[in-house]
Amino acid sequence: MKTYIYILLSILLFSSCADYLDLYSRSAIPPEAVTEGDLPALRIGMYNFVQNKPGVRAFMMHDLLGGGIQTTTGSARDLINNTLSPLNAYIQGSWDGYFNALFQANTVIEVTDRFSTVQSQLIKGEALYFRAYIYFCLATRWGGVPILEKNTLEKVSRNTLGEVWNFIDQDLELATKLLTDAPTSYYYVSKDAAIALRARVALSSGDYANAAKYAESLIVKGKYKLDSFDKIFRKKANTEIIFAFENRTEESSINISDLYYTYDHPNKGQGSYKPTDATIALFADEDNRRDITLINIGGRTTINKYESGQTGRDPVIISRIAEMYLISAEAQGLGNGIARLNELRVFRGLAPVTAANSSEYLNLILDERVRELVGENFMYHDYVRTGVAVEKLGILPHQVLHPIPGRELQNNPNLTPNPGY
Amino acid sequence: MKINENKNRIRTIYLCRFLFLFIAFSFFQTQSSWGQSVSLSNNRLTLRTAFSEIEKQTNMSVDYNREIIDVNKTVTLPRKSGSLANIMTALFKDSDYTYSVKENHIIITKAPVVAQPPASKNITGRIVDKEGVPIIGANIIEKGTVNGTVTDIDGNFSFQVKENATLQISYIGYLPQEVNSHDNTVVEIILQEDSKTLDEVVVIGYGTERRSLVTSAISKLSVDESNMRQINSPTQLLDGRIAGVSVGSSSGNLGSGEKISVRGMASLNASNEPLYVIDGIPITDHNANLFNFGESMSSLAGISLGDIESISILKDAASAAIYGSRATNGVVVITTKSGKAGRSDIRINYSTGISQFPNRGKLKVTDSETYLMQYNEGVDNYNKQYGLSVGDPNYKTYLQNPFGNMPDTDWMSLITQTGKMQKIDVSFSGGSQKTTFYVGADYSHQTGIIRTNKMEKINLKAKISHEMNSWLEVGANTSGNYMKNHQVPGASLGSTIIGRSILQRPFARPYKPNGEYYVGGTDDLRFHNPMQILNEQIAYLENLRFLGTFYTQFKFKDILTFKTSLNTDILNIYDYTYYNENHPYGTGVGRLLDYNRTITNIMIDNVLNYRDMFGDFSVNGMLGHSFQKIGHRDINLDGRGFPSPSFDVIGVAAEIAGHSGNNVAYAMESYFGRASTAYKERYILTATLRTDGSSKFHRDRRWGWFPSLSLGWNVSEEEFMKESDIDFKFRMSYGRTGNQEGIGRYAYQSFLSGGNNYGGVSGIATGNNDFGNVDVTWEKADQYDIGFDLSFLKGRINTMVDLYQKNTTDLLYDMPMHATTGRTNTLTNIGSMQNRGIEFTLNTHFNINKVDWLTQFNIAHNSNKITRLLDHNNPISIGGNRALQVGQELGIFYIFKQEGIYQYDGEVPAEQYAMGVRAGDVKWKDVDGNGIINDSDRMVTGSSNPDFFGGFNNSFRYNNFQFDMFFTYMYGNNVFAQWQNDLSKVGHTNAVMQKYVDRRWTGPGTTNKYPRSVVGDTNNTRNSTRILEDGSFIRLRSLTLAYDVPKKFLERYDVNGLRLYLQGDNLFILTKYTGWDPETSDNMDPRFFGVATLGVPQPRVFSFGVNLNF
Repeated sequence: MKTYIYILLSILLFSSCADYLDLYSRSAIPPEAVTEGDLPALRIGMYNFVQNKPGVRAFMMHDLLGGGIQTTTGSARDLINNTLSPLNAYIQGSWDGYFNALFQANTVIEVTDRFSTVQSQLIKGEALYFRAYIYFCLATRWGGVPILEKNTLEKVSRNTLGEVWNFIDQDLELATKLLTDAPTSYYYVSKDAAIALRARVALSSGDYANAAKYAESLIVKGKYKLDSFDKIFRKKANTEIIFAFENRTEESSINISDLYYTYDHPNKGQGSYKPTDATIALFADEDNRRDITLINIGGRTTINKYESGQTGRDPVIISRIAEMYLISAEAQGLGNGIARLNELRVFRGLAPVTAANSSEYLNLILDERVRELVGENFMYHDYVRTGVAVEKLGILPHQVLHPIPGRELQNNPNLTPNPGY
Repeated sequence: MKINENKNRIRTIYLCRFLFLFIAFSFFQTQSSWGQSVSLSNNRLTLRTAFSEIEKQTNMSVDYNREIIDVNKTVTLPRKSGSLANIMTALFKDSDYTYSVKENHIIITKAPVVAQPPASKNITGRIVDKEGVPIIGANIIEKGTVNGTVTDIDGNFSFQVKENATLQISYIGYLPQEVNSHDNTVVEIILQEDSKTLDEVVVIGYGTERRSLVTSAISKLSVDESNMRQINSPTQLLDGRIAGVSVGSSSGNLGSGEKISVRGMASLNASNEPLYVIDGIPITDHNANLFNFGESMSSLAGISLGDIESISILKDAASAAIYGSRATNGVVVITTKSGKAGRSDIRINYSTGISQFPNRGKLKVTDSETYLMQYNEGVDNYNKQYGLSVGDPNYKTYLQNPFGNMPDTDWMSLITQTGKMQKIDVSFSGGSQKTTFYVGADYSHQTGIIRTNKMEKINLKAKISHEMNSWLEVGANTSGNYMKNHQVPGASLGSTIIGRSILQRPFARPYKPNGEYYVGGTDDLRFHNPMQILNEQIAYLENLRFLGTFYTQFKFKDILTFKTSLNTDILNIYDYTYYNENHPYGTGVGRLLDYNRTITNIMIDNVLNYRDMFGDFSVNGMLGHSFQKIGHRDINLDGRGFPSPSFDVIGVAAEIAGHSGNNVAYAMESYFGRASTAYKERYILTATLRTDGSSKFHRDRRWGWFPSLSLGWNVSEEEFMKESDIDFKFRMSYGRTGNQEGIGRYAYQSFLSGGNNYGGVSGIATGNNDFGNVDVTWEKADQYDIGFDLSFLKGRINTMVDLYQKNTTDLLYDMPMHATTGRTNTLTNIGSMQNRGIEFTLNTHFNINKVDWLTQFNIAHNSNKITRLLDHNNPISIGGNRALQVGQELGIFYIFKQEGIYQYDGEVPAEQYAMGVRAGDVKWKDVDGNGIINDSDRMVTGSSNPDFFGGFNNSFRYNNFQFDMFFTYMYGNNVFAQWQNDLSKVGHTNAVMQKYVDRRWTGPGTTNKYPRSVVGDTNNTRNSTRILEDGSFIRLRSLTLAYDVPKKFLERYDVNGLRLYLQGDNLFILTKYTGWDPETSDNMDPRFFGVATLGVPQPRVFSFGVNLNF
């Protein structure tokens, strides 16, 4: 009889399992459970998101559309025409990715506002920097985009481009106050990184005085000096880089090298893109940037700034001091600026130049920017902001802005499309 | 929250009280044997009722021939109860029937006529079924007389007949037969099963039922030698066999994934696959591969086909609702073979064969000369339209054959091969009255039609049940499955094997003169070198599966049974992908993806069954409880850096470049019950109710209720139909089912997920679309079914017709969000969908002279409609060529429409001219008329769903030969031939099909369909109606010729049966589709199904086999 009672008991036990239906993830926590102790982890998650979410082509977009890069078969203009479509996956992917990363930055800002410790204010500074960086990326692609100071589910409308520049500047101003002067490494956001970004933003928004001021402040600071490409792009100690994403292999999907190298290179790559002949022709033999910038693999010349191919990932540089030289040179104009331009040229092994007038000077600056910064996501925006894009790239007037992705327009009727698409 | 908890407790307590009472009852032991007492429900009743009550109360079975014994005869007994012997005598007191007892069979016959006509010889014989199993209680009558007898326990009979008498043999469930005794005195007669379906036993959820009492739409496929094919997954056996069930496959590679849809598609995000139940275990139907090797793989391919006895499909909600929340897409119930009491069977099946790549020539690419001609024409056209000359930055140059006059490479013949296979399975089964067992083993080895594709399978099975005493039965049913599948890259992987072969330029070569590979993605070779891919990788999937049930069943008389069982489905999947240093993906140092996953699916079932008779009413009830937990653990490593290709285990790797791993689980608790009553087997009413609680939903939304109600009317049991030879049953049902598959285990919870690391430090972040939605709950489907089963001409013609409507509400859908919210979609219960359809099955069985002719034909139509989704009715674009739209079906295409070819530059709108469009380019329909071709110019057109589909089998038997011809067909489905976008580009760097070169536009008036050659084209290969094709087809699925070696040759070797057969599978296909196979689709998701890429078509198979029984 006892046996049966045991059987019965076991049946009873099995029969009341309702509590076993509360199951929780072992790799995640709910947001309301965040404490101050979780802040450092939240901060790291933000770095990861801003680095990864926009996708690899977001870090190449200004190159792909900048006329200096082509696919292996189509011309540079074919690449531009193919890319600038509301249906293009890379256009949509980067739009989605930037807002996804923005969500994390805004979450961090919100959480840090709950705590007033030194640490939380530092992290807030980093979050403000990233928000500004994301908005810079958005503005240089789509123009006036919706400004989101807080995360929202609302179907937001677009702000004007001027409002976006102001918003970015406010964030950067506050960030420079909160950020430290001495980060652990240039893979983390510093006060200088915020200043460098502010210089770039000022240049893009036409505020040349401030652009020159911020750029010069970093040049004269002494902490940063021009350094050799071999050090900058081969993960060696250098004095150039102000801020870069570390982009470790196991933490990142951003593999720029893979899209330039071919399977003929020992490190392997898909080889989707290569520089145009015109780009290659810009590099003189004595230019000491040439061998790190370009490489010939099996008869094809391609970009060599990222060396890992399919074996890993390479850091993605956001700001380095050479850009400050170029910003300063451009913002100060021919008169005072050309010295900074020649300083850079001479350091790179080239002879100084002179210009007869400001348009000739602008051309010198733009060519130098290609030599210095090709493959670092600048070209298209440089041509657009200096008003020469239609002429230089042979594009249609409306192609100076990216199309708002079709999917986004469908899901948010309050967004107006960019004209011409 | 509290409320739910209390409810559960109350439920539990009630259930447990019931169980306690029941167990207390079961201590009363029942008496056994002939002397036992019987208590009838009434002392005035029909023989049928009496027999059935006697069967229930004793362990005796009552055997009789319906055509001789009038079981509707009412008898009056002096008293209701007494010993079985007394009752039996009383029953036949006033009739000319009598009975005899053989072991536990009571055999009813007509009493011998006293004045027998003079008999002149004694005839003896034996009656067996086609498997050689003796038929007990079969009636043998001398034609034209009342002289007859009944077979005994061994199927033997013996009686006196006139010379040259004709014997009429009959038995329920078998076709009647006449045999002339001639001058024989010993005969052996094999009775053929009656294809009339009304008397078969079908599996219903948590039990079985006679077909005549089934009130819902259940289709059953009995698996035997005649419908067996050379396939790996049991689901493929269903292809074309069952009305309303369609089977699609991912490719023709070994073990490739499959998609089964039962009555259309009822879900968007949640799974559309049916629930699979093997011997009572709802199994986990996971994607078999962890590392996506370019196609999905079947999780069922590891299961042994030889052990399967039958597959039942519970199609409507009335039958499926007992499986509640997972039954919206139907339930596939697989029953395996068991041992039979009183027998010892040995079965050996062996088969071998070859397989081929079918219709390879359908995709004909150009030779080098034509290729260069059309490419260079494209160069000219480009330079001309932009006014470019030598020296301009965008000037294009001619292409020349870099290999001079060397012969072209036939890439497809380099990668294909003739597949070979060998399969053997052996089983031993048998048992006694108390114990039955089944032990089986299978081994198979196959190679596919693409080089290096091969698969090995081992299956072991043991099944035992034993009656400890009259009230306790125990049993176990276990199977161990092993499968190792060497995969080849499927169509969606960068190294896709066909895509990297057929698309190569015709002059390209795999090997350099020095024997090294030409490397893909360079000027020498456009795409990855397929030989390098196949030779320098090892990729396999190793699947270990243990399926086991252990049960105890308590029995109280024959009225109540209580079964408690522990069911397990435990899987280990090892996904091994090694790219050595010479492989393009080998990163120059070798790379190993070492993925491991363990899935533990453990379930405890308690089921109480009740069955009784009250006068003309039979009552049947079931109550159950079940708890199931499915754990899922995986660890994935990406190791790099191996000294040489001979080192290929993860421990050798120099670095772990990536890793992932998780440990997740979900659980479900269910209470369910069924009540069914029948009056005189005429009117049948069945109701079921199930409630499921799933951990995937928030506590407040956790429990779903799934009822069903069905009615059946056996019209042929009515008095007015008694005399006819028509069997007619009318059925109608309603039921509700649910769906929770295919959504995340923690879908309602919002997360800050770990693993978002930076700088070697662990980070957490939200925004991987895991924002959570506490309101997410069950997707529900209400289904109505009305149908009838009709059989006439003594069962020679059987039909089954069903009409249904399935309304899905609270559709689980990843609602697209505007990205400014930080997410792109969010899981919601939104929208509704409707499926309506009709299914028709026709089975016939005729004898034409000596030829037995059987046909099985089925056809089904389903129409699907999304009835509500978002707050607008515009198409919602999904993927590159599909959309969801209210009012349209799931499966529509959303693509550009070709209106023609621009014949003159002047016709091209300015906006398109600016983008490089010229005469000879495709003219797209500009829906919004703004001159620009963009997203808003796409149109909803076509559908991947067929108008109707089904299968048609013809079987001819003549003497010992059997010939089967089985067709499957589909009509009205579109296939989006994505591969054409790659193979139709004239003036492009890919290889191009001859057809597109021959027909290209070369000047005004040449064609209005095929564009010109131009390099760098961005206009002509949009996802469009240009490549949307009619995918209708008729396929000769299989052709089988079998020969049963006559018994007389076998007897001396003690062999019961020997069958030899030849089979051809997929011998031909009639279709307008221009690709290889309209049935394979890279993506199995119903939203994206019907898109054809360069996947491997289903092979053509020729095989030879032997079935041997002892």
